Amino acid sequence: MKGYCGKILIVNLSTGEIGSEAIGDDIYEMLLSGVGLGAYYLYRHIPAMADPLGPDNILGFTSGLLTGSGSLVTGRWMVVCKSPLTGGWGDANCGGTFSPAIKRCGYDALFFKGISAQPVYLYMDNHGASLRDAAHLWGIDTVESESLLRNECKAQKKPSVAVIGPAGENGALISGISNDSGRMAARSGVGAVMGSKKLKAVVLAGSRRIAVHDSARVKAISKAYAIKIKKAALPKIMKGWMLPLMGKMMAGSKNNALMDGLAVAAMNKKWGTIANNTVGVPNGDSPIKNWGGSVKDYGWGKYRHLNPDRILRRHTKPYACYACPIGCGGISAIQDVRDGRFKHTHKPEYETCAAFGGLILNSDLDAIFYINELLNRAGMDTISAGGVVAFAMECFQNGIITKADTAGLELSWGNADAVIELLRRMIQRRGIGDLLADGVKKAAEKIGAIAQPYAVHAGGQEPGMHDGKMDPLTGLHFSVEPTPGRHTIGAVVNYNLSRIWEFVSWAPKVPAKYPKDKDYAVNEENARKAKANSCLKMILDGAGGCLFAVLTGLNHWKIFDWLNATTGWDKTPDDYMQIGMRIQTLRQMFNIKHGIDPKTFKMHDRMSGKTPLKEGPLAGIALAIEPSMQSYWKELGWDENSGIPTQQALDHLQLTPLLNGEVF
Amino acid sequence: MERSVRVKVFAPAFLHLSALDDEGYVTLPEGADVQTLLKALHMPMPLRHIGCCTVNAVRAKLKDTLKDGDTVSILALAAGG
Ligand code: SF4
Repeated sequence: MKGYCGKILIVNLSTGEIGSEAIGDDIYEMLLSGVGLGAYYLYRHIPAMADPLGPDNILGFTSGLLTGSGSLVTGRWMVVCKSPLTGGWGDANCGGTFSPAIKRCGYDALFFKGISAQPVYLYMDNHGASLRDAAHLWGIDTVESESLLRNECKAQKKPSVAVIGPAGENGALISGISNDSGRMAARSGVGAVMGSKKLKAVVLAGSRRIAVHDSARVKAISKAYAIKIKKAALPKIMKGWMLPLMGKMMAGSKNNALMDGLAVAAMNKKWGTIANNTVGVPNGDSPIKNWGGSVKDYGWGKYRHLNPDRILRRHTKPYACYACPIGCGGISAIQDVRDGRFKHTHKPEYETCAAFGGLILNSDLDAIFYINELLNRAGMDTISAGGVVAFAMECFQNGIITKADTAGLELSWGNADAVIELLRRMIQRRGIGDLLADGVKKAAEKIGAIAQPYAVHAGGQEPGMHDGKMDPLTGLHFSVEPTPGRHTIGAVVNYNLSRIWEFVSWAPKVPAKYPKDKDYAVNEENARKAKANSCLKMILDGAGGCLFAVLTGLNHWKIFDWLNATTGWDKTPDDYMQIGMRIQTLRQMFNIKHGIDPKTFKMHDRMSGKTPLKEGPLAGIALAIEPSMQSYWKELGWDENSGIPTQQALDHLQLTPLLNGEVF
Repeated sequence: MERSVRVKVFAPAFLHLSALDDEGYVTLPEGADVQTLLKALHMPMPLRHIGCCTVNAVRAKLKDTLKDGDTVSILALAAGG
């Protein structure tokens, strides 16, 4: 009656054994579920220095503690493993329907060890779990595989399917895992780990009830939130062409101010993340030309093609993840696009539009739709893939990659036809595609030092499409996260919208307005904000929450109240932040165990502006990234010079017994 | 002495925020409407007319009179992906 099942499924793919393990209440109280439960299991069971693509790595699918409780915007699932991209902690987060499906089978998480001799998939319903032959699905894309599996596994209830495509099967390190026909858990190279295990899919068809402590209270909180979200709406006459105007004004503003989160919900309801397509270019948020350019290289004449209204013209039906009244997604019809191979695609996210828009100087929107579906079906991360293409284009421009290397492909900036062909080769690991399929870091290592200046990454992961020079906390999180390059951990704007200081005693209060310069200072206050971002994100990833709900404000989206009502605990927001801190520290300790030096996760010099941009809204800005990282580590109680959690911090967080191999 | 109303305002930073005090309130003459507030914040004309603001979480019209203690929210942008 606490919203969680108290049980995990463990599958040994090498032997075919399937078992379960009970998890005590104390673990949930210390680490929630989701990513916390994943960190708990993986820290203990993956041996130090294990090969991420070898049998010792463990791939986990975890559900959120609040998923299925009756709470809202809490239906996200997490994949956890040792990342082949970074060599350290890996996780990826996804919406859709897979998270409740895990719990409806009676488990909070599913962990896969070993490597199967043949391609298999796991099928599970109320009666149990079994491994089934997947040879006939190997090589088939994610959308098609999901449909075949649904037919094959006819169950009373439509099963939920998490599946890899050819990219993961072929071991591309920038591959992810799909559910709901193209919603991707994309980051950390989780698809490559699944492929290495010869695990094609996980099919879940359970229908068990998820019991909670105080269902009436959970529902009351949900009802109040749903009413607010329903009311949050933009007028129909608000059009996409108005957005660049705001972007330009933002670029010129010297101030920052508190905004209303429900107004963000209104934007998300109307457009979803693509609202940022034409705001982000003029205000500097969107990286341009492999992080080396600006709106001067990708001006209005180009970025206007990414107007979110143009994207909505192809909209056929809305899409929302499980239990989400915001519903920022949608399905787009694309049967007339290019060769007509694809009929539909999920509405491309901002990240995809930016990665295959300004980052590579492409303004062919149809190509972006096509690429979106091509990569979703292949199971390849669009952020990383865009980063790799931008890297290849800059190498091509500088003669490091030539037509002889590309077998005649003209990799000039913005050449959409060449990009699509290059992506096909990356998915199939053909020719130059084989070199690029493992991300920019690995590609640059193979090419040599001459390519390093163009290999934009943080700790091996291509960064999300938000320039830290515009939002310095984003830049900091890119560099200090145990999964570096991650754009979803925190930003100044996230912090300000969350209003977390109204709940957490130590979170710095933000005034109604203040000079933007203050956000760039290296000081305890900003480090503490970053700490709050990290802790809150770990709570989200333990509970299954969506970041876009945080942006509506914790004063509206009452995650702490939902957690107490669901579990029967009586914890304060400060207590929950302590749990978040514990999860964050455990993920960092995973990295330390696996030989990662946290200093090496510092983002690429181009991202921090070591040589500042000469033009555009971010011209001249350089982040003091090393001192910021030290300040963050110190604030978390980690050693400020090495980024390693101190013994004192570990003791304070009661992590020492777990790290010593004792079960607590 | 002229009477005034004090309203709490949430606005994106690209507007002129000099009208806001440190707590985020704007003081306006009694009888001021939404239009007066948007003007005080230098909201550009094309955006002013689209009705992108709410008063106490209800969509507002430019001619709506503001009362002391109202909360006005005007657009908001946040990056995501
Ligand atoms: S806000 Fe969007 S991404 Fe988040 S849960 Fe809702 S539909 Fe999914």
